[in-house]
Amino acid sequence: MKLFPTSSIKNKLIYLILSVSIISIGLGFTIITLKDIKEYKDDLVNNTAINSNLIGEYCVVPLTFRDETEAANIIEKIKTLPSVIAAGIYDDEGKPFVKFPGNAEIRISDSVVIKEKFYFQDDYLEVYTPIKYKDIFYGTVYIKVSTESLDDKINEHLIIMISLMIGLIVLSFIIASILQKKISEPILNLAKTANKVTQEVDYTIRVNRQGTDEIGLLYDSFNEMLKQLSVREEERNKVEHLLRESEKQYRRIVDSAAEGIWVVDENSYTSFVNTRMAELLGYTIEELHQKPVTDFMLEEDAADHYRKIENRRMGLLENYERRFRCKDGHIIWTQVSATPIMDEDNKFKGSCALFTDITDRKISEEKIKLLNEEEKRRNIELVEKNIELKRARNATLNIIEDLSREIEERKQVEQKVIQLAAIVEYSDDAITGKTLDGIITSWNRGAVNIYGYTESEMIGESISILVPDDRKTEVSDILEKIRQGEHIEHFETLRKRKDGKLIDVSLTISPVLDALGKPIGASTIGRDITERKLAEEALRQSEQKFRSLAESSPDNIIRYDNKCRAIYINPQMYQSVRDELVSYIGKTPMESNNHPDTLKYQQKIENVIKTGQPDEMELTVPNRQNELRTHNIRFVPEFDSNHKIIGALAIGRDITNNKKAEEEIRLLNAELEQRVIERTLQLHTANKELEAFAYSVSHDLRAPLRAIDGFSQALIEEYYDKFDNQGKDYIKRVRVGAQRMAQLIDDMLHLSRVSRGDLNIQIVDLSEIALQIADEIKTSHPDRKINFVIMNNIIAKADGRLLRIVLENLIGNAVKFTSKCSDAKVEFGISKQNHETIYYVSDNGAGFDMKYSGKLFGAFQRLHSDSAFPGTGIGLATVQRIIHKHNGRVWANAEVDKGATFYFTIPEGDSQ
Amino acid sequence: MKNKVILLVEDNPDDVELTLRALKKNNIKNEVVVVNDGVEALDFLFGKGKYEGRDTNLMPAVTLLDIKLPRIDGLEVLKQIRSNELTKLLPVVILTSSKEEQDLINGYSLGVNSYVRKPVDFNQFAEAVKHLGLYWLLLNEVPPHKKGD
Repeated sequence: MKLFPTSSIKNKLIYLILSVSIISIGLGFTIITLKDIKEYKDDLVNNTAINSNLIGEYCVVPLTFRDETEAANIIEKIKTLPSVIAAGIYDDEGKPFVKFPGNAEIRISDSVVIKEKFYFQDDYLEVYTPIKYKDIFYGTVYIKVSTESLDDKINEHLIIMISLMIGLIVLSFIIASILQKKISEPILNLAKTANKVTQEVDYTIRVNRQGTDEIGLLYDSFNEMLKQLSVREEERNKVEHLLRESEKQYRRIVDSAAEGIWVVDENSYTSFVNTRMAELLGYTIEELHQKPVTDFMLEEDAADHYRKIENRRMGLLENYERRFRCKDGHIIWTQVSATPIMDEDNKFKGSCALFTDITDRKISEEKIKLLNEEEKRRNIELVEKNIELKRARNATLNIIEDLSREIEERKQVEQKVIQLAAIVEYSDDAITGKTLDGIITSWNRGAVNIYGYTESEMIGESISILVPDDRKTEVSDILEKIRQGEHIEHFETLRKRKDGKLIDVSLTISPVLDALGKPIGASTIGRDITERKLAEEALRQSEQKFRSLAESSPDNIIRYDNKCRAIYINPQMYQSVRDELVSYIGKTPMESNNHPDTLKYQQKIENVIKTGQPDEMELTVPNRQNELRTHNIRFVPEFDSNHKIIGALAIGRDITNNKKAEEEIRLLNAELEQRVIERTLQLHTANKELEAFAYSVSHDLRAPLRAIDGFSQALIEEYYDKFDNQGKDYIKRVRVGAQRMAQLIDDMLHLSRVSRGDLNIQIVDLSEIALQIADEIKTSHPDRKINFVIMNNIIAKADGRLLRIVLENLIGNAVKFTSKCSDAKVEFGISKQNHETIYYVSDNGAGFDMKYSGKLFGAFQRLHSDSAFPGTGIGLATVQRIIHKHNGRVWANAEVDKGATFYFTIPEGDSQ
Repeated sequence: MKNKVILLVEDNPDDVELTLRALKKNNIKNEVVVVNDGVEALDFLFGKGKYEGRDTNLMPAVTLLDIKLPRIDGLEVLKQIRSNELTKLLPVVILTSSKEEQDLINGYSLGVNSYVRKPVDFNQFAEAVKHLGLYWLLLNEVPPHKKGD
């Protein structure tokens, strides 16, 4: 297809069909033509060879007698043959004998040939034929034939073939043109429609499907695509319209706002500003657009602005005051409420702020301040003047007094020095003195305690003993400052104790001055702040812990100070509640929003702050998706270290799902209870029905059986002689059948009775029961010799009546299945396994194949024929029911002819 | 012994026939009055309805009473027998198919003298009837008859 990538599908199809036809026709015709040409040539050779053979035969005689005339006569006959150009005869030595025509130039290439030969040469054919008679070679005939007629024939053939070929190609072109329409037209139609759809942007256009082939399917999919496109288009238009409407609405609100609105991007460049804001500043909107907001502030406020922007970046809302320079140069004050703008990934995108002009208020405040200061200044001046006057008057008096006072003062100073020395000596702080070279001159008890060195150890030593190696330069720096007369206060650093432990200390170092005010040494007050540092670290960690807890908590957390103002809001709060419902930092809930429950909310917080009693409430508010969510909010007081209430925490949790789940559970429970009542009722009814059925079975089904048996017996008794032996046997069978049926009914009733009714659990002596059963069996089977081995004191907590049935059945079975043993042995006992008591009844009788153990406990299931061991197959089903009723298990183990053992358990705890 | 009447309350004709046959087989030739339901039984005992004018001084030596009966069932008949002065001491034997515990309890609490379950095997049945006849007609002393006024 690379040959014509731009051709239309129609042309491609025609090309395809045509090229296939031309290739096949061309190939076919070429083969036929080549074959025909070969045939024509063969014919010519054959004809010529026949002629030369004939001539050869005629020439045998002339050649034998060397009669040239006769040979010439013969060869002349050649001329009657058309297209023969020349002919000649050679003798057996290859010399020319005769030739025709006489003047003919004969090029002899082979004058002696043993076998016939021919050559095509230019426009003629040369044939050499040996003349032989009775296998004697006499010479050679040579005939030269023109191939002109052959060429004519070939040409004619070619013309016919070529015209036929052209005809066929034309025909196939016509057929191809017709056929291609069938395929290309629907595709072209589809392309045209698609083109129309894109040009007119009309998705309601559809193509008409014409067939059920792949193109038909393509049409369907195309139509389906168009349908979905049109639905999508419609939705997009709708959404666009809504967006435009809402945008318009917001713009109206924004434009008509009494406050200025200013939106900046993350670099503080203006991305939107409303008319009111522009008015406030005296600029046009265009002048503000895309300018950094700091251009319009006072230079000294820029730093504060960036700090505030950092807060925005943290997602905080804030209220503050901000000055702006208007276009005409005057300065206005504004009250700002700023909100961060975050994108979906919670990335900071800028800030939006509302501005209220508070310049007037500010100016009046400013004025008041100025007035106050003025008054203060005047007062101070007055006082100073008074003082000066007083000073002048007193100066004279003072000189006299000074002398006497100096004496007094000196005494007092001495006193003070003693006092100070005592204070220094007993201070807990390390108070040390040193020279400007760092040599220690005094060392108080505090220093002994803190650094571990005694006074005698340290006096005269360098202070650098106390300094860790990596801080040695500190000493010279400090001493340098002291030389300059500087004070160093609360310098926190590390010092090394005598025992090598590093301690945190806070040093206050002052120069010691001589009388002239020149520093001569330094006094250092050192305080061990290791514990404070540790406490600080602990506090910082606890604060960090609290903060990360609060930051990552799925609960909404707001911290209020004791004035009920929000001082911390965790990020979850912003995620789960709409902005306008979040308290603003620094404001009370009532100042922040107008949700109907806000008053109650704030009162609860205030109450918690007042009483210290935690409280809670439920609050239903819309979330950011505007779905109403119910929050359970707990208010807990916050205490400082002195147990004073410093604020409150409001911790809210979205319990909407819990509530829903609770409600669902409640409904489910109600439904379940209802269902239990219904089922119980149904069960009750079913039990009643079962009882009625059992009663009817026991009474009504037995009556006919009695009749069958009774009258059968009557027949035998009354008409004994009328029956032969077979008849008597039949009657006997009728009776056996009736009696067996009665037995089955009885056993079934027994089984159903076992299932009904409650267990009557008591302490039962199973050994005693088993002994009684054994005695009964011995009495009823006096012919049997059975060795009963019954373990003593098998006590169980169970229903005694039912357990008797179990043992009757199991022991009865054991007796039955040992009936064919000469030394029958039946055993009843217990064994303990994993703290479980397992009861068993074993025998050495017929046993059974464990293959069938699955059938053992099914009603009416028997493993032995009735003739071998009679029974109804109800006994073990009854046993199983009773044991299951006691929550126990029953199973068996057996081997054919080796006896069987039946085991059961009665869980004591469960059967209660 | 011959003048002692047996009252058989039984609705199933087969059972009637079998009972009679069992009695006969055991040479119990006493008169057997057969009634087919509870109402008839009471009518006979109290000389009412069909038995209007019967001499109620002649009470059966034993009443063989089925439980499941048309109209009034056997337990109700027993109740009425025991609650009437005339018949309260009458020996009554329940002869029934039922072995239901509840029937047994009800029968004895209503004061039945004996409770016998009809076995399906006729030979056993005949044996039971034989014992019944032997006991109630021969061995048992009937309480002194209280003449009705």
